[in-house]
Amino acid sequence: MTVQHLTDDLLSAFIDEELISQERRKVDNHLKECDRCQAQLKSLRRVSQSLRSLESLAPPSTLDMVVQRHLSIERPKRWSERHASRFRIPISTPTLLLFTVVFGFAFLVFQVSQKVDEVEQRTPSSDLVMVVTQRVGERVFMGEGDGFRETVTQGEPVDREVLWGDEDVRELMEKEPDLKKLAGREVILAVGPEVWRISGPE
Amino acid sequence: MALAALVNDALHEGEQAISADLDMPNCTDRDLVLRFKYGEKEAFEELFKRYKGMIFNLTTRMAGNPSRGEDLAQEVFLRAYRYLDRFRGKSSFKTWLYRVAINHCRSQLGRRALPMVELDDEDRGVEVADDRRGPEALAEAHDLANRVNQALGELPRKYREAVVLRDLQGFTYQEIATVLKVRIGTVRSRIARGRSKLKTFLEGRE
Repeated sequence: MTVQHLTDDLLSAFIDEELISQERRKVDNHLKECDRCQAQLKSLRRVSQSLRSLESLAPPSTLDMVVQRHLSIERPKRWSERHASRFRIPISTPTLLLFTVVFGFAFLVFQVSQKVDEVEQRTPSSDLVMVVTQRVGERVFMGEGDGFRETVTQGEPVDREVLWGDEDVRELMEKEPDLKKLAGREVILAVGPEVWRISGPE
Repeated sequence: MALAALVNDALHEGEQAISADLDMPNCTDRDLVLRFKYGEKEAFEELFKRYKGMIFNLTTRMAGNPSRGEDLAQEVFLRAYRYLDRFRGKSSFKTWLYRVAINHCRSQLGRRALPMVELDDEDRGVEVADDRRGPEALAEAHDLANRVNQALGELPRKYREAVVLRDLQGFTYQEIATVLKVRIGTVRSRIARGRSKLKTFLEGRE
């Protein structure tokens, strides 16, 4: 029958009194019967004692002097100072200028396009037809009542694609006789909150 | 009149109690840290006084020679000074400071075993001067200390850390686990492996 000897982990923790009671009982019982583990325990204990017998080293006076001198010069760094480098943009000044110009230009273009969209999506003043946008070739005209004026917009939001012959359009033409003048042409029309594209033959 | 004297005495006692509380050497580490955070630089000087010996011993044992150990100890205290406002008080100040020291030693010393310098009497400090052992016993102790020191230098870093914290600094397994940020089971096995290797080194040198 083979004997299960105690591990160095158990023996070492036994020396340090860091075993739980169940483990300690097991080690105690085993040690009573096993010479080999007793010898191992003794040698590990000797090592631990040799280490503990090393004298404590006295810190040299120069340690005091140097640390005190540094402390008198240095003040503790605040959070913002320690993390300042994290927030610093790691690019040179010319690159930064280039970025500013590019972003500035992009912002201007965005602003202009926003204004154009505002014209396009202008809410009509009545529930039916107030703003008529007419496309002639590539040019787009926008009108209210009598005349049309040209806009610079390209592309438009369209909610419904309808034909001149559709019932909805006919109904609309009865309420808005001016619309008849545009019949048969492609017309983009703001109808209440919607935008219609009317096309096809009358 | 008697009443007025009693009130005066009571007030005087109260003042004394308050001034004793504010006296740095009587403050706990936690209070000193708080006082430092509120701008009292002197509070750190008191912490330095309390821990300079322990940290110097740790860094010297880790570095293998007192001169390097002194440099490391200086750097540890300067780091602690700079970063003390990061300390949130979840562990004790001592544990935090030791973690700063261990991390600094790791970054500066690497993983390799270190050539240990033989310590002379001056390095050993004042205690040797008080020794009343005879010359033979003293020489024997000297010899053993040097052999242990050399053997310690041959230990891989992770075992050396655990053994030094346990046998030279007297930390519990739980404290070592907190400083090294490992589980208690790992601490137990590192100490056992460290002692076992030291035993082999020491027996080989006998």
